[in-house]
Amino acid sequence: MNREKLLEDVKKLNKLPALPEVVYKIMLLKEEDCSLSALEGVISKDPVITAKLLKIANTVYFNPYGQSVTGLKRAIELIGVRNIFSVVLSIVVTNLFPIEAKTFYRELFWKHSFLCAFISKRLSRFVKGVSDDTAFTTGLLHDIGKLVFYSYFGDSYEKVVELTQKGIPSYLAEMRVFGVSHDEVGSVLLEVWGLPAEVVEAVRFHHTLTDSRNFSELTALVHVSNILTMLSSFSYNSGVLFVVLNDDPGWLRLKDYITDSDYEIHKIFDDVVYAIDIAEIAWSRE
Amino acid sequence: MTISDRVFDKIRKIIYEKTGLVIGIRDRDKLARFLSSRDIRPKSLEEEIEYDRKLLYDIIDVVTVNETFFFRHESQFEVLEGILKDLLKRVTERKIRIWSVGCSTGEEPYSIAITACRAHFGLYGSYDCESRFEIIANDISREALNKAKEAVYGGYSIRNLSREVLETFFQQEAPESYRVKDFVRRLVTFYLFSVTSDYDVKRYIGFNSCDCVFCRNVMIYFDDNSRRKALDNIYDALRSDGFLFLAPTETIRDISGDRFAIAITMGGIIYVVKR
Ligand SMILES: C[S@@+](CC[C@H](N)C(=O)[O-])C[C@H]1O[C@@H](n2cnc3c(N)ncnc32)[C@H](O)[C@@H]1O
Ligand SMILES: [Fe+2]
Ligand SMILES: [Fe+2]
Repeated sequence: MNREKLLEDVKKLNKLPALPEVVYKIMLLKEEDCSLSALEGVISKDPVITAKLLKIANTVYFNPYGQSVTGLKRAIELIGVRNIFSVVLSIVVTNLFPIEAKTFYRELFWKHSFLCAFISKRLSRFVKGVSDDTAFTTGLLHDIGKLVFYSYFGDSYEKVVELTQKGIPSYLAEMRVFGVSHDEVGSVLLEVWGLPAEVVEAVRFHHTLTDSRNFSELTALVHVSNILTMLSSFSYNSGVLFVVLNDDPGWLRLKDYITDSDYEIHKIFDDVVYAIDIAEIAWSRE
Repeated sequence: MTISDRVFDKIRKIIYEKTGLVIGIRDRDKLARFLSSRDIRPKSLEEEIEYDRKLLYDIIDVVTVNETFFFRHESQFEVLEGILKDLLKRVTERKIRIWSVGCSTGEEPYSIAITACRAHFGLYGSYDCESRFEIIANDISREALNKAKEAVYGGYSIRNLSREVLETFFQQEAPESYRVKDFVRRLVTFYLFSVTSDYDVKRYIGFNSCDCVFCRNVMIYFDDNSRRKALDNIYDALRSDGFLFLAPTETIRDISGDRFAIAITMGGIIYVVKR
Protein backbone atom coordinates (compact mmCIF):
# COMPACT_ATOMS: atom_id res chain seq x y z
CA MET A 1 0.00 0.00 0.00
CA ASN A 2 1.46 3.35 -0.87
CA ARG A 3 1.36 6.62 0.95
CA GLU A 4 -1.38 8.30 -1.09
CA LYS A 5 -3.64 5.28 -0.94
CA LEU A 6 -3.23 4.97 2.80
CA LEU A 7 -3.99 8.63 3.47
CA GLU A 8 -6.98 8.36 1.13
CA ASP A 9 -8.28 5.36 3.08
CA VAL A 10 -7.84 7.14 6.38
CA LYS A 11 -9.81 10.10 5.07
CA LYS A 12 -12.68 7.80 4.20
CA LEU A 13 -12.39 5.96 7.48
CA ASN A 14 -11.99 2.72 5.57
CA LYS A 15 -11.41 0.01 8.19
CA LEU A 16 -11.22 2.72 10.85
CA PRO A 17 -13.71 3.49 13.60
CA ALA A 18 -15.78 6.65 13.79
CA LEU A 19 -16.07 8.52 17.07
CA PRO A 20 -19.25 7.62 18.94
CA GLU A 21 -22.07 10.12 19.28
CA VAL A 22 -21.53 10.74 22.97
CA VAL A 23 -18.18 12.40 22.33
CA TYR A 24 -19.70 14.90 19.92
CA LYS A 25 -22.53 15.59 22.34
CA ILE A 26 -20.07 16.47 25.08
CA MET A 27 -18.00 18.49 22.63
CA LEU A 28 -21.13 20.50 21.83
CA LEU A 29 -22.03 20.95 25.48
CA LYS A 30 -18.51 22.20 26.09
CA GLU A 31 -19.16 25.05 23.71
CA GLU A 32 -22.60 25.88 25.03
CA ASP A 33 -23.60 25.24 28.58
CA CYS A 34 -21.44 22.81 30.40
CA SER A 35 -23.61 22.30 33.45
CA LEU A 36 -23.30 19.31 35.69
CA SER A 37 -26.81 18.08 35.05
CA ALA A 38 -26.52 18.48 31.27
CA LEU A 39 -23.38 16.36 31.31
CA GLU A 40 -24.99 13.81 33.56
CA GLY A 41 -27.92 13.59 31.19
CA VAL A 42 -25.73 12.80 28.22
CA ILE A 43 -23.33 10.44 29.93
CA SER A 44 -25.83 8.43 31.97
CA LYS A 45 -27.18 6.95 28.76
CA ASP A 46 -23.91 5.11 28.34
CA PRO A 47 -23.42 2.50 31.08
CA VAL A 48 -19.85 1.61 30.07
CA ILE A 49 -18.62 5.16 30.33
CA THR A 50 -20.54 5.71 33.54
CA ALA A 51 -18.91 2.70 35.16
CA LYS A 52 -15.42 3.81 34.10
CA LEU A 53 -15.98 7.36 35.33
CA LEU A 54 -16.95 6.03 38.74
CA LYS A 55 -13.80 3.99 38.85
CA ILE A 56 -11.65 6.94 37.87
CA ALA A 57 -13.37 9.23 40.37
CA ASN A 58 -12.38 6.76 43.05
CA THR A 59 -8.64 6.98 42.37
CA VAL A 60 -6.47 8.80 44.88
CA TYR A 61 -5.71 11.57 42.45
CA PHE A 62 -9.30 12.74 42.08
CA ASN A 63 -10.45 11.54 45.45
CA PRO A 64 -7.67 11.98 47.98
CA TYR A 65 -9.86 11.53 51.02
CA GLY A 66 -11.18 8.24 49.81
CA GLN A 67 -14.90 8.78 50.32
CA SER A 68 -16.51 6.18 48.16
CA VAL A 69 -18.23 7.67 45.11
CA THR A 70 -21.22 5.83 43.77
CA GLY A 71 -23.26 8.44 41.89
CA LEU A 72 -22.40 9.73 38.44
CA LYS A 73 -23.05 13.34 39.39
CA ARG A 74 -20.59 13.25 42.25
CA ALA A 75 -18.08 11.48 40.02
CA ILE A 76 -18.30 14.24 37.42
CA GLU A 77 -17.91 16.81 40.15
CA LEU A 78 -14.77 15.20 41.51
CA ILE A 79 -13.16 14.74 38.12
CA GLY A 80 -14.17 18.28 37.26
CA VAL A 81 -16.60 19.45 34.64
CA ARG A 82 -13.71 20.96 32.71
CA ASN A 83 -11.94 17.63 32.50
CA ILE A 84 -14.87 15.46 31.57
CA PHE A 85 -14.41 15.79 27.86
CA SER A 86 -10.85 14.57 27.85
CA VAL A 87 -11.54 11.80 30.33
CA VAL A 88 -14.53 10.50 28.38
CA LEU A 89 -12.54 10.78 25.19
CA SER A 90 -9.80 8.63 26.63
CA ILE A 91 -12.26 5.99 27.78
CA VAL A 92 -13.96 5.89 24.41
CA VAL A 93 -10.88 5.93 22.24
CA THR A 94 -9.17 3.23 24.25
CA ASN A 95 -11.93 0.81 23.42
CA LEU A 96 -12.39 1.87 19.84
CA PHE A 97 -9.63 -0.02 18.09
CA PRO A 98 -10.08 -3.79 18.20
CA ILE A 99 -6.47 -4.52 17.32
CA GLU A 100 -5.58 -8.17 17.23
CA ALA A 101 -1.91 -7.93 16.28
CA LYS A 102 0.28 -9.94 18.61
CA THR A 103 2.88 -7.24 18.68
CA PHE A 104 0.53 -4.51 19.83
CA TYR A 105 1.00 -3.77 23.52
CA ARG A 106 -2.31 -2.24 24.25
CA GLU A 107 -1.58 -1.31 27.85
CA LEU A 108 1.75 0.23 27.11
CA PHE A 109 0.25 2.25 24.31
CA TRP A 110 -2.50 3.74 26.41
CA LYS A 111 -0.43 4.26 29.48
CA HIS A 112 2.13 6.10 27.42
CA SER A 113 -0.60 8.20 25.82
CA PHE A 114 -2.22 8.92 29.15
CA LEU A 115 1.04 9.88 30.77
CA CYS A 116 1.82 12.22 27.89
CA ALA A 117 -1.65 13.73 28.33
CA PHE A 118 -1.15 14.13 32.05
CA ILE A 119 2.21 15.86 31.66
CA SER A 120 0.88 18.08 28.86
CA LYS A 121 -1.91 19.21 31.10
CA ARG A 122 0.51 19.73 33.95
CA LEU A 123 2.73 21.94 31.80
CA SER A 124 -0.15 23.80 30.22
CA ARG A 125 -0.79 25.74 33.39
CA PHE A 126 2.33 27.76 32.65
CA VAL A 127 1.65 28.45 29.03
CA LYS A 128 -0.65 31.28 28.19
CA GLY A 129 -3.24 30.54 25.55
CA VAL A 130 -3.26 26.77 25.89
CA SER A 131 -6.19 25.33 27.81
CA ASP A 132 -5.48 22.37 30.05
CA ASP A 133 -8.25 20.41 28.44
CA THR A 134 -6.86 20.85 24.94
CA ALA A 135 -3.40 19.97 26.18
CA PHE A 136 -4.71 16.76 27.71
CA THR A 137 -6.61 15.76 24.59
CA THR A 138 -3.63 16.38 22.35
CA GLY A 139 -1.32 14.40 24.60
CA LEU A 140 -3.77 11.55 24.72
CA LEU A 141 -4.13 11.35 20.96
CA HIS A 142 -0.61 12.24 19.84
CA ASP A 143 0.35 8.70 18.81
CA ILE A 144 -3.05 7.60 17.52
CA GLY A 145 -1.53 7.17 14.06
CA LYS A 146 0.22 4.07 15.38
CA LEU A 147 -3.18 2.48 15.86
CA VAL A 148 -3.99 3.24 12.25
CA PHE A 149 -0.88 1.35 11.19
CA TYR A 150 -1.84 -1.58 13.37
CA SER A 151 -5.37 -1.55 12.00
CA TYR A 152 -4.12 -1.73 8.43
CA PHE A 153 -0.94 -3.71 8.66
CA GLY A 154 -1.27 -5.79 11.84
CA ASP A 155 1.87 -7.67 12.70
CA SER A 156 3.96 -6.14 9.96
CA TYR A 157 4.32 -3.09 12.20
CA GLU A 158 6.88 -5.28 13.90
CA LYS A 159 9.36 -4.26 11.19
CA VAL A 160 9.18 -0.74 12.55
CA VAL A 161 9.72 -1.97 16.08
CA GLU A 162 12.81 -3.84 14.96
CA LEU A 163 14.25 -0.71 13.40
CA THR A 164 13.58 1.32 16.53
CA GLN A 165 15.49 -1.24 18.54
CA LYS A 166 18.47 -0.48 16.34
CA GLY A 167 18.20 3.13 17.40
CA ILE A 168 16.06 4.66 14.67
CA PRO A 169 13.25 6.91 15.94
CA SER A 170 9.82 5.42 15.27
CA TYR A 171 8.59 8.08 12.85
CA LEU A 172 11.68 7.64 10.67
CA ALA A 173 11.37 3.87 10.80
CA GLU A 174 7.74 4.16 9.68
CA MET A 175 8.78 6.39 6.82
CA ARG A 176 11.21 3.76 5.76
CA VAL A 177 8.73 0.88 5.97
CA PHE A 178 5.44 2.52 4.98
CA GLY A 179 6.49 5.76 3.32
CA VAL A 180 4.51 7.77 5.84
CA SER A 181 4.66 8.16 9.62
CA HIS A 182 2.22 8.00 12.53
CA ASP A 183 2.27 11.75 13.22
CA GLU A 184 0.92 12.53 9.76
CA VAL A 185 -1.51 9.60 9.60
CA GLY A 186 -2.78 10.43 13.08
CA SER A 187 -3.38 14.06 12.24
CA VAL A 188 -5.41 13.08 9.19
CA LEU A 189 -7.60 10.78 11.27
CA LEU A 190 -8.16 13.45 13.90
CA GLU A 191 -9.11 15.93 11.23
CA VAL A 192 -11.70 13.50 9.90
CA TRP A 193 -12.97 12.97 13.42
CA GLY A 194 -13.51 16.70 13.68
CA LEU A 195 -11.06 17.59 16.41
CA PRO A 196 -9.96 21.23 16.66
CA ALA A 197 -7.39 22.38 14.12
CA GLU A 198 -4.83 23.24 16.81
CA VAL A 199 -4.93 19.65 18.07
CA VAL A 200 -4.53 18.30 14.55
CA GLU A 201 -1.54 20.53 13.96
CA ALA A 202 0.19 19.64 17.21
CA VAL A 203 -0.17 15.93 16.52
CA ARG A 204 1.14 16.44 13.00
CA PHE A 205 4.39 18.00 14.19
CA HIS A 206 4.98 16.36 17.55
CA HIS A 207 8.22 14.75 16.30
CA THR A 208 9.28 17.29 13.72
CA LEU A 209 8.59 20.63 15.41
CA THR A 210 10.96 22.54 13.27
CA ASP A 211 9.32 21.34 10.04
CA SER A 212 6.41 23.53 10.96
CA ARG A 213 7.30 27.04 9.95
CA ASN A 214 6.10 28.49 13.19
CA PHE A 215 5.24 25.75 15.59
CA SER A 216 2.60 26.47 18.18
CA GLU A 217 2.92 26.38 21.96
CA LEU A 218 0.63 23.38 21.99
CA THR A 219 2.93 21.55 19.59
CA ALA A 220 5.91 22.32 21.80
CA LEU A 221 4.00 21.20 24.85
CA VAL A 222 3.11 17.79 23.49
CA HIS A 223 6.54 17.30 22.00
CA VAL A 224 8.19 17.96 25.37
CA SER A 225 5.65 15.88 27.28
CA ASN A 226 6.37 12.98 24.99
CA ILE A 227 10.04 13.29 25.90
CA LEU A 228 9.24 13.50 29.59
CA THR A 229 7.36 10.20 29.46
CA MET A 230 10.83 8.70 29.27
CA LEU A 231 11.00 9.26 33.00
CA SER A 232 8.53 6.45 33.54
CA SER A 233 8.38 2.90 32.39
CA PHE A 234 5.62 3.97 30.04
CA SER A 235 7.71 4.99 27.14
CA TYR A 236 8.90 3.43 23.95
CA ASN A 237 12.44 2.58 23.28
CA SER A 238 12.96 5.33 20.78
CA GLY A 239 16.62 4.61 20.30
CA VAL A 240 17.41 7.82 22.13
CA LEU A 241 19.46 7.47 25.28
CA PHE A 242 18.87 10.87 26.68
CA VAL A 243 17.54 14.25 25.69
CA VAL A 244 19.24 17.36 26.96
CA LEU A 245 16.28 19.62 27.53
CA ASN A 246 18.17 22.81 26.85
CA ASP A 247 19.02 21.60 23.36
CA ASP A 248 15.41 20.86 22.52
CA PRO A 249 13.59 23.52 20.46
CA GLY A 250 10.25 22.66 22.09
CA TRP A 251 11.63 23.07 25.58
CA LEU A 252 13.35 26.33 24.70
CA ARG A 253 9.97 27.69 23.67
CA LEU A 254 8.21 26.57 26.86
CA LYS A 255 11.00 27.44 29.23
CA ASP A 256 10.40 31.14 28.90
CA TYR A 257 6.99 30.72 30.46
CA ILE A 258 8.24 28.84 33.50
CA THR A 259 9.94 30.77 36.24
CA ASP A 260 11.94 27.96 37.81
CA SER A 261 11.93 25.42 35.06
CA ASP A 262 14.42 22.96 36.54
CA TYR A 263 12.36 22.82 39.68
CA GLU A 264 9.20 22.16 37.70
CA ILE A 265 10.83 19.28 35.88
CA HIS A 266 11.62 17.68 39.21
CA LYS A 267 8.06 18.26 40.37
CA ILE A 268 6.69 16.65 37.26
CA PHE A 269 8.98 13.72 37.85
CA ASP A 270 7.40 13.35 41.32
CA ASP A 271 3.86 13.76 40.01
CA VAL A 272 4.31 11.13 37.37
CA VAL A 273 3.76 8.64 40.17
CA TYR A 274 0.13 9.78 40.45
CA ALA A 275 -0.36 9.53 36.74
CA ILE A 276 0.94 5.99 36.72
CA ASP A 277 -1.45 5.19 39.52
CA ILE A 278 -4.47 6.46 37.59
CA ALA A 279 -3.31 4.85 34.39
CA GLU A 280 -2.90 1.50 36.10
CA ILE A 281 -6.35 1.60 37.61
CA ALA A 282 -8.43 3.28 35.01
CA TRP A 283 -7.00 2.47 31.64
CA SER A 284 -5.83 -1.06 31.91
CA ARG A 285 -8.15 -3.68 30.55
CA GLU A 286 -10.02 -5.19 33.41
CA MET B 1 29.96 8.15 79.53
CA THR B 2 28.78 11.50 78.27
CA ILE B 3 30.44 14.02 76.05
CA SER B 4 30.26 17.64 77.05
CA ASP B 5 28.91 20.25 74.65
CA ARG B 6 32.29 21.81 74.35
CA VAL B 7 34.06 18.59 73.39
CA PHE B 8 31.27 17.56 71.05
CA ASP B 9 31.47 20.90 69.29
CA LYS B 10 35.20 20.47 68.85
CA ILE B 11 34.81 17.03 67.34
CA ARG B 12 32.04 18.26 65.18
CA LYS B 13 34.24 20.95 63.84
CA ILE B 14 37.15 18.63 63.14
CA ILE B 15 34.90 16.18 61.30
CA TYR B 16 33.26 18.96 59.37
CA GLU B 17 36.56 20.38 58.23
CA LYS B 18 37.88 17.02 57.23
CA THR B 19 34.78 15.61 55.52
CA GLY B 20 32.07 18.21 55.07
CA LEU B 21 29.79 16.01 57.13
CA VAL B 22 27.42 17.59 59.57
CA ILE B 23 27.01 15.29 62.52
CA GLY B 24 24.05 15.47 64.83
CA ILE B 25 22.65 14.46 68.17
CA ARG B 26 22.39 10.81 67.30
CA ASP B 27 26.07 10.68 66.48
CA ARG B 28 26.83 12.02 69.91
CA ASP B 29 25.60 8.80 71.49
CA LYS B 30 27.42 6.66 68.96
CA LEU B 31 30.55 8.62 69.66
CA ALA B 32 30.22 8.23 73.40
CA ARG B 33 29.85 4.48 73.03
CA PHE B 34 32.86 4.33 70.79
CA LEU B 35 35.01 6.32 73.17
CA SER B 36 34.13 4.18 76.14
CA SER B 37 34.86 1.03 74.15
CA ARG B 38 38.31 2.45 73.47
CA ASP B 39 38.75 3.73 76.95
CA ILE B 40 39.41 7.24 75.74
CA ARG B 41 38.42 10.10 78.00
CA PRO B 42 36.47 12.69 76.02
CA LYS B 43 38.42 15.47 77.68
CA SER B 44 41.68 14.37 76.15
CA LEU B 45 40.12 13.52 72.82
CA GLU B 46 41.29 16.57 70.99
CA GLU B 47 44.90 15.94 71.88
CA GLU B 48 44.68 12.30 71.04
CA ILE B 49 43.34 13.11 67.61
CA GLU B 50 46.24 15.45 67.03
CA TYR B 51 48.54 12.70 68.13
CA ASP B 52 47.02 9.81 66.37
CA ARG B 53 45.55 10.42 62.91
CA LYS B 54 44.19 6.91 62.86
CA LEU B 55 41.83 7.80 65.67
CA LEU B 56 40.25 10.48 63.52
CA TYR B 57 39.52 7.95 60.82
CA ASP B 58 38.07 5.56 63.37
CA ILE B 59 35.73 8.30 64.46
CA ILE B 60 34.79 8.97 60.85
CA ASP B 61 33.94 5.27 60.49
CA VAL B 62 31.60 5.64 63.44
CA VAL B 63 29.70 8.64 62.10
CA THR B 64 29.32 7.75 58.42
CA VAL B 65 26.30 5.95 57.03
CA ASN B 66 27.59 3.31 54.67
CA GLU B 67 24.39 1.69 53.50
CA THR B 68 24.54 0.59 49.88
CA PHE B 69 23.86 -2.38 47.58
CA PHE B 70 24.58 -3.60 44.07
CA PHE B 71 22.71 -1.86 41.26
CA ARG B 72 20.99 0.58 43.57
CA HIS B 73 18.67 2.79 41.45
CA GLU B 74 18.87 0.09 38.84
CA SER B 75 17.51 1.89 35.80
CA GLN B 76 20.42 4.34 35.94
CA PHE B 77 22.73 1.49 35.05
CA GLU B 78 20.78 0.79 31.88
CA VAL B 79 21.36 4.40 30.88
CA LEU B 80 25.01 4.11 31.85
CA GLU B 81 25.41 1.04 29.65
CA GLY B 82 24.11 2.97 26.67
CA ILE B 83 26.40 5.90 27.40
CA LEU B 84 29.41 3.63 27.78
CA LYS B 85 28.71 1.84 24.52
CA ASP B 86 28.59 5.16 22.80
CA LEU B 87 31.86 6.22 24.44
CA LEU B 88 33.54 2.94 23.53
CA LYS B 89 32.83 3.69 19.89
CA ARG B 90 34.11 7.26 20.08
CA VAL B 91 36.93 7.22 22.59
CA THR B 92 39.91 5.17 21.56
CA GLU B 93 42.99 7.20 22.37
CA ARG B 94 42.50 7.22 26.15
CA LYS B 95 40.70 5.30 28.88
CA ILE B 96 37.09 6.06 29.65
CA ARG B 97 37.04 7.31 33.19
CA ILE B 98 34.27 7.05 35.76
CA TRP B 99 34.41 8.33 39.31
CA SER B 100 32.27 6.85 42.07
CA VAL B 101 32.06 9.42 44.88
CA GLY B 102 31.37 8.08 48.38
CA CYS B 103 31.67 4.52 47.15
CA SER B 104 31.21 3.06 50.63
CA THR B 105 31.82 -0.71 50.66
CA GLY B 106 32.27 -0.91 46.90
CA GLU B 107 28.93 -2.06 45.56
CA GLU B 108 28.49 1.07 43.46
CA PRO B 109 31.88 1.08 41.67
CA TYR B 110 31.67 -2.66 41.07
CA SER B 111 28.18 -2.25 39.63
CA ILE B 112 29.66 0.39 37.33
CA ALA B 113 32.50 -2.00 36.44
CA ILE B 114 30.06 -4.82 35.65
CA THR B 115 28.07 -2.42 33.48
CA ALA B 116 31.28 -1.44 31.68
CA CYS B 117 32.07 -5.10 31.05
CA ARG B 118 28.60 -5.67 29.67
CA ALA B 119 28.81 -2.65 27.38
CA HIS B 120 32.13 -3.96 26.09
CA PHE B 121 30.70 -7.45 25.65
CA GLY B 122 27.75 -6.05 23.74
CA LEU B 123 30.05 -4.43 21.20
CA TYR B 124 33.05 -6.72 20.99
CA GLY B 125 31.94 -10.03 22.48
CA SER B 126 34.45 -10.01 25.33
CA TYR B 127 34.44 -8.84 28.94
CA ASP B 128 38.11 -8.02 28.90
CA CYS B 129 38.15 -4.24 28.94
CA GLU B 130 40.89 -3.18 31.35
CA SER B 131 42.55 -1.22 28.59
CA ARG B 132 39.39 0.77 27.93
CA PHE B 133 37.97 1.69 31.35
CA GLU B 134 39.22 3.14 34.57
CA ILE B 135 36.94 3.47 37.56
CA ILE B 136 38.07 5.55 40.48
CA ALA B 137 36.25 5.24 43.77
CA ASN B 138 36.73 7.21 46.95
CA ASP B 139 35.35 7.38 50.43
CA ILE B 140 36.36 8.82 53.76
CA SER B 141 35.55 5.71 55.71
CA ARG B 142 38.60 3.51 55.99
CA GLU B 143 36.60 0.56 57.21
CA ALA B 144 34.23 0.78 54.25
CA LEU B 145 37.14 0.99 51.81
CA ASN B 146 38.79 -2.07 53.31
CA LYS B 147 35.63 -4.02 52.73
CA ALA B 148 35.43 -2.65 49.23
CA LYS B 149 38.95 -3.85 48.44
CA GLU B 150 38.16 -7.29 49.77
CA ALA B 151 35.20 -7.42 47.39
CA VAL B 152 33.33 -10.19 49.19
CA TYR B 153 29.56 -9.80 49.46
CA GLY B 154 26.43 -11.56 50.59
CA GLY B 155 22.89 -11.03 51.88
CA TYR B 156 21.31 -7.61 51.58
CA SER B 157 24.02 -6.25 49.38
CA ILE B 158 23.52 -8.69 46.51
CA ARG B 159 19.75 -8.98 46.65
CA ASN B 160 19.35 -7.26 43.26
CA LEU B 161 21.67 -9.63 41.45
CA SER B 162 20.40 -12.29 39.10
CA ARG B 163 21.80 -15.80 38.90
CA GLU B 164 23.34 -14.88 35.59
CA VAL B 165 25.19 -11.86 36.98
CA LEU B 166 26.41 -13.81 39.99
CA GLU B 167 27.72 -16.57 37.78
CA THR B 168 29.42 -14.30 35.29
CA PHE B 169 30.99 -11.71 37.56
CA PHE B 170 31.38 -13.42 40.94
CA GLN B 171 33.06 -16.42 42.41
CA GLN B 172 31.16 -18.21 45.11
CA GLU B 173 33.30 -18.68 48.20
CA ALA B 174 30.79 -19.97 50.72
CA PRO B 175 27.02 -20.61 50.61
CA GLU B 176 26.16 -16.95 51.14
CA SER B 177 29.35 -15.31 50.09
CA TYR B 178 30.53 -14.15 46.70
CA ARG B 179 33.76 -12.51 45.60
CA VAL B 180 33.90 -10.14 42.64
CA LYS B 181 36.01 -11.74 39.91
CA ASP B 182 39.45 -10.35 39.14
CA PHE B 183 38.68 -9.03 35.70
CA VAL B 184 36.03 -6.77 37.25
CA ARG B 185 38.08 -5.79 40.28
CA ARG B 186 41.01 -4.72 38.15
CA LEU B 187 38.90 -1.93 36.68
CA VAL B 188 38.42 -0.21 40.04
CA THR B 189 40.92 1.71 42.17
CA PHE B 190 40.00 2.87 45.67
CA TYR B 191 41.26 5.96 47.44
CA LEU B 192 40.74 7.45 50.85
CA PHE B 193 39.90 11.12 50.49
CA SER B 194 37.06 13.57 50.83
CA VAL B 195 35.12 14.84 47.84
CA THR B 196 35.12 18.23 49.55
CA SER B 197 38.91 18.53 49.46
CA ASP B 198 39.88 20.26 46.24
CA TYR B 199 43.51 19.47 46.89
CA ASP B 200 42.82 15.72 46.99
CA VAL B 201 40.38 15.78 44.11
CA LYS B 202 42.95 17.53 41.90
CA ARG B 203 45.59 15.08 43.05
CA TYR B 204 43.69 11.83 42.60
CA ILE B 205 41.24 12.72 39.87
CA GLY B 206 42.62 15.76 38.08
CA PHE B 207 40.95 18.33 35.85
CA ASN B 208 38.54 17.63 33.01
CA SER B 209 39.20 13.95 33.16
CA CYS B 210 35.99 12.07 33.97
CA ASP B 211 33.38 10.95 31.47
CA CYS B 212 30.88 10.14 34.22
CA VAL B 213 30.61 10.85 37.92
CA PHE B 214 28.31 9.01 40.29
CA CYS B 215 27.61 10.96 43.46
CA ARG B 216 24.58 9.27 44.92
CA ASN B 217 23.37 9.44 48.50
CA VAL B 218 26.45 11.32 49.66
CA MET B 219 25.58 15.01 49.54
CA ILE B 220 22.44 14.33 51.54
CA TYR B 221 24.63 14.28 54.64
CA PHE B 222 26.22 17.63 53.83
CA ASP B 223 25.20 21.20 54.56
CA ASP B 224 24.95 23.65 51.67
CA ASN B 225 28.50 24.82 52.05
CA SER B 226 29.87 21.28 51.73
CA ARG B 227 27.47 20.47 48.91
CA ARG B 228 28.84 23.47 47.03
CA LYS B 229 32.43 22.42 47.59
CA ALA B 230 31.67 18.89 46.47
CA LEU B 231 29.86 20.04 43.36
CA ASP B 232 32.64 22.49 42.45
CA ASN B 233 35.15 19.66 42.64
CA ILE B 234 32.95 17.31 40.65
CA TYR B 235 32.42 19.96 38.00
CA ASP B 236 36.17 20.49 37.69
CA ALA B 237 36.77 16.76 37.44
CA LEU B 238 34.21 16.23 34.68
CA ARG B 239 35.05 16.51 31.00
CA SER B 240 33.17 19.05 28.98
CA ASP B 241 30.69 16.47 27.73
CA GLY B 242 30.55 14.53 30.98
CA PHE B 243 27.56 13.14 32.88
CA LEU B 244 26.65 13.39 36.53
CA PHE B 245 24.38 10.82 38.20
CA LEU B 246 22.70 11.71 41.49
CA ALA B 247 20.21 9.63 43.45
CA PRO B 248 16.69 10.13 42.04
CA THR B 249 15.50 12.25 44.94
CA GLU B 250 18.53 14.52 45.07
CA THR B 251 18.83 17.84 43.34
CA ILE B 252 21.61 20.34 42.71
CA ARG B 253 19.43 22.98 41.19
CA ASP B 254 20.01 25.39 44.09
CA ILE B 255 23.80 25.20 43.79
CA SER B 256 24.55 24.28 40.20
CA GLY B 257 24.37 27.76 38.75
CA ASP B 258 24.53 27.51 35.03
CA ARG B 259 26.99 24.65 34.94
CA PHE B 260 24.78 21.63 34.39
CA ALA B 261 21.89 20.94 32.03
CA ILE B 262 19.11 18.48 32.79
CA ALA B 263 18.94 15.42 30.59
CA ILE B 264 15.87 13.22 30.51
CA THR B 265 16.55 9.49 30.43
CA MET B 266 14.79 6.22 31.13
CA GLY B 267 16.70 6.17 34.40
CA GLY B 268 15.30 9.53 35.47
CA ILE B 269 16.99 12.88 35.42
CA ILE B 270 20.75 13.05 34.95
CA TYR B 271 23.00 16.06 34.45
CA VAL B 272 25.22 17.03 31.57
CA VAL B 273 28.05 19.52 31.85
CA LYS B 274 27.36 22.77 30.04
CA ARG B 275 30.48 24.44 28.72
C1 LIG C 1 24.96 6.08 52.03
S1 LIG C 1 26.56 5.79 51.38
C2 LIG C 1 26.24 5.79 49.65
C3 LIG C 1 27.00 4.74 48.91
C4 LIG C 1 26.76 4.68 47.42
N1 LIG C 1 27.19 5.91 46.77
C5 LIG C 1 25.30 4.42 47.13
O1 LIG C 1 24.60 5.32 46.65
O2 LIG C 1 24.83 3.31 47.33
C6 LIG C 1 27.39 7.33 51.70
C7 LIG C 1 28.92 7.21 51.67
O3 LIG C 1 29.48 8.50 51.49
C8 LIG C 1 30.67 8.55 52.24
N2 LIG C 1 31.07 9.95 52.46
C9 LIG C 1 30.54 10.84 53.32
N3 LIG C 1 31.18 12.01 53.25
C10 LIG C 1 32.14 11.86 52.31
C11 LIG C 1 33.14 12.71 51.78
N4 LIG C 1 33.27 13.97 52.22
N5 LIG C 1 33.94 12.24 50.81
C12 LIG C 1 33.80 10.98 50.35
N6 LIG C 1 32.88 10.12 50.83
C13 LIG C 1 32.07 10.55 51.79
C14 LIG C 1 30.33 7.80 53.50
O4 LIG C 1 31.47 7.34 54.15
C15 LIG C 1 29.47 6.66 52.96
O5 LIG C 1 30.24 5.52 52.69
FE1 LIG D 1 4.91 9.85 18.41
FE1 LIG E 1 4.66 9.21 21.96
